[in-house]
Amino acid sequence: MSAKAQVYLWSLLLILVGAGIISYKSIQLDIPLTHGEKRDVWVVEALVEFETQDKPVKVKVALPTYYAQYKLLEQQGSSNGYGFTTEESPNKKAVWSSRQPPAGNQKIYYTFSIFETDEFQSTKGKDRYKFDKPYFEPAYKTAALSLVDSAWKKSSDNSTFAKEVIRRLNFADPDQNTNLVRSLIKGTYTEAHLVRDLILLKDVPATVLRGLQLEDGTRKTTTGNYLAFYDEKWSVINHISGEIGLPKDTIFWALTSVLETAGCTNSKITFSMIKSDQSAKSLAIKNSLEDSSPIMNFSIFSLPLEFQSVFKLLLLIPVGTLIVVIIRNLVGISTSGTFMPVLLAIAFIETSLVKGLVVLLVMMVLGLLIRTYLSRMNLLLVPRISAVVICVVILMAFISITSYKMGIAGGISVTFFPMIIISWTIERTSIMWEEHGGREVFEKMGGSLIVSIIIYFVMTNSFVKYFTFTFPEVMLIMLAFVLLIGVYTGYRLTEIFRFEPLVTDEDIKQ
Amino acid sequence: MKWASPFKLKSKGILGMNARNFSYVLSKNKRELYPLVDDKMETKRIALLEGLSVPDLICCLKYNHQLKELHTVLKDHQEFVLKPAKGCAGKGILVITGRNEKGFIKASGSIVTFTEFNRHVASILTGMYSLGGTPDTAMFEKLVHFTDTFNGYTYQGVPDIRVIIYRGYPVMAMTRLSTKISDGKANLHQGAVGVGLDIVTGKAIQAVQFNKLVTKHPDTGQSFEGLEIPDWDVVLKLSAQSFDITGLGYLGADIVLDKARGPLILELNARPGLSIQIANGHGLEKRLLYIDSVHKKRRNIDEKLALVKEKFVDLK
Repeated sequence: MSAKAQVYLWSLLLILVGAGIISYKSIQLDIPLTHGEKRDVWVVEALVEFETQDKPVKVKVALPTYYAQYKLLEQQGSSNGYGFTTEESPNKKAVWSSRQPPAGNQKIYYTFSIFETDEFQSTKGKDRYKFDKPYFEPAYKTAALSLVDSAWKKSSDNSTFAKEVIRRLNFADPDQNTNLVRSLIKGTYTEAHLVRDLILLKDVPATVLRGLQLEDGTRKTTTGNYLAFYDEKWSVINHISGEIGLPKDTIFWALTSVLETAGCTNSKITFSMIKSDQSAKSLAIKNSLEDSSPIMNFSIFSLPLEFQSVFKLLLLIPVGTLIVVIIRNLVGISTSGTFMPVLLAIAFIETSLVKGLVVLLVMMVLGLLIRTYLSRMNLLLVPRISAVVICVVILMAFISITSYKMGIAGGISVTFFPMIIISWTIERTSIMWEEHGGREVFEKMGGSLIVSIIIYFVMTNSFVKYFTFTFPEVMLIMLAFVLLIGVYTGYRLTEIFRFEPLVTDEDIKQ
Repeated sequence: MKWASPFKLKSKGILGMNARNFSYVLSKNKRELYPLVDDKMETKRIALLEGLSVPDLICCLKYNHQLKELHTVLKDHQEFVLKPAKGCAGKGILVITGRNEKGFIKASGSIVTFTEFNRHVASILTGMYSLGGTPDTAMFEKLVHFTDTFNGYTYQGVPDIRVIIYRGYPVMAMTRLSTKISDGKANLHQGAVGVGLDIVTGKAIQAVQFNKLVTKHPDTGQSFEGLEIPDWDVVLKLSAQSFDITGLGYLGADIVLDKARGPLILELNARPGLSIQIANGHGLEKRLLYIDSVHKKRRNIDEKLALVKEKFVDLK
């Protein structure tokens, strides 16, 4: 296989693998391609209050089970004196227990945060929720049956039946039967429970869920009752308006009570909640780290945070080199020192562009003056460059101290410049000046500076930063491009200007 | 700024830098052969082994402590050229045409004091002008007295003839003439005039300065029309032989014409530039491809030259 064919094959392979992993992470793991997306994160704080009775206490708080499109992000319980464990089945529960609880009114806080996802939990399956035969006392049963029967006749399926029942219950001028049935609503037996029992009379599966309406800044709210019924799938229906569909920003507890206590009295649970924006990236990453997807398990995100920040910069360097390759081999502008612009750009990232440019130019000018004098002293090459390095360090200290004393904060950032690179640049520039004159120096150095500024802007672009860090696989694609440019034998952009006389001459002659 | 469509450039067989590097320099020039041309001492050695004409070497210097001996040797020479053996693009070359009690007299007439001269030699030795800054050798060569052919065609400097040799066949040639703007240097992008030479006859085709056509030398006013290189066949043969001594498939031979000795190989270049195409007014690629198509048959130098003369009259 020829060298070129190998390059094409590798490039194809690299692009396929790179793009494959990126799309897997983006589609399957839900990591967004841009960092701009923010998602609502609800931080819900449950406050459990109860009174102890001088006997062992056990308090269980259930996490919402029917999250709808919500996913659990974090959970945290304050234990102050209680043993804290979690239970996984049948539902996720936080459990506090104590053999000898302190006397009096007790407070336990439990915080969990959830965020919205696009995944809808399937609500198919009739047996998802338990439902029993309803029990009506004989006096009420006839009234209930007559209400249900007439609703049944006016409906075609479970949904319309449920709506019809609710509509009848809420008539403005209720008949006697309805009034009788409504009189059952008392205490914990709410309207939702009544509707549930009425629907169950016709063997339509129905249940009452505890639900919590999420509202930013709400304090000490309690859960409410929501009615769910089955019609090919489970749906929530508003037991007053008859509207079918999930209420907005609501989480549910199903098959479980929110709070279970043993050994205490007057227990109650209230919720406070706040909404916060978090980048969708961190959510998806946290999420997939928990799911322990093999790709995420072996990713930069599995490193400790401090190493991650090292990689943040490291992963930007290939972008810089790619630009150098493009500018040199496709555009055709030569830079002094192949990757010097990349190193300068990295320094600019640390110093910020304008400060960096000013400091660099000051250092170059002073360095060149010193270098010119050193060359008069007839020094050999290596000692001369070492002398320049030492002078550059002295200059750095001088610039830092002077600017600090003068109250200019930027001067200290001079230390971010790679001084060996600066010294060599000064040396090379000085030789270039002697050999080819100032014009050449300004052209070459100006070219290098412009290239490094371009690289700086690309490397500080927030999308580029985000993308290289979140999808390091893009390096494979960049590698492929560099390989392809390596075998590109077409013209460079500057050459279509350079060789232009060759084409026009011919036209004139003809 | 005017530009040309890349397709048009391609159809005219103009070689671009990427294509030159990939298809010719990288694939036809083996890396291990580079030292033969990157080190001018080495070039001189292998050229002399085969009996090719090169400028005479006075001496060479590798270590600083030899400086004293150097001056005793140089006492016998009024004029000479000092160059770094591994220098590129004419960097670090000093042309001395005389001396007085203070120092040496440069070709331009200015004086280099002995101290400055010694420092220059020391800089060369430490590798200031060499590729990659490696330690270097300072070469002292006899000054070439170039033929009268170029009288009126050059402002200071040494006019040389660049011939591109591909697989041992000369494919394109030009001569580079220094100007006031180029500061006496024969470097085209510094403003020297490049005169394309007909590979068959050695006659001037056209002349360009800064990529623009010129008809006469900007400083002397001499018209290029009558310019013709004498002993053209000797020049072609000498440059073609540089392939035999180096084995480099794609190279540029720089030839100078000495009044007494005729054409001499000044240096060889494994990465010859592409401006030669502009000086000639046509591209290299068609000729290179033609050589590719016929090079399988073994030919001696004379057969190669005969083929070039027969085929390249019209192949542009």
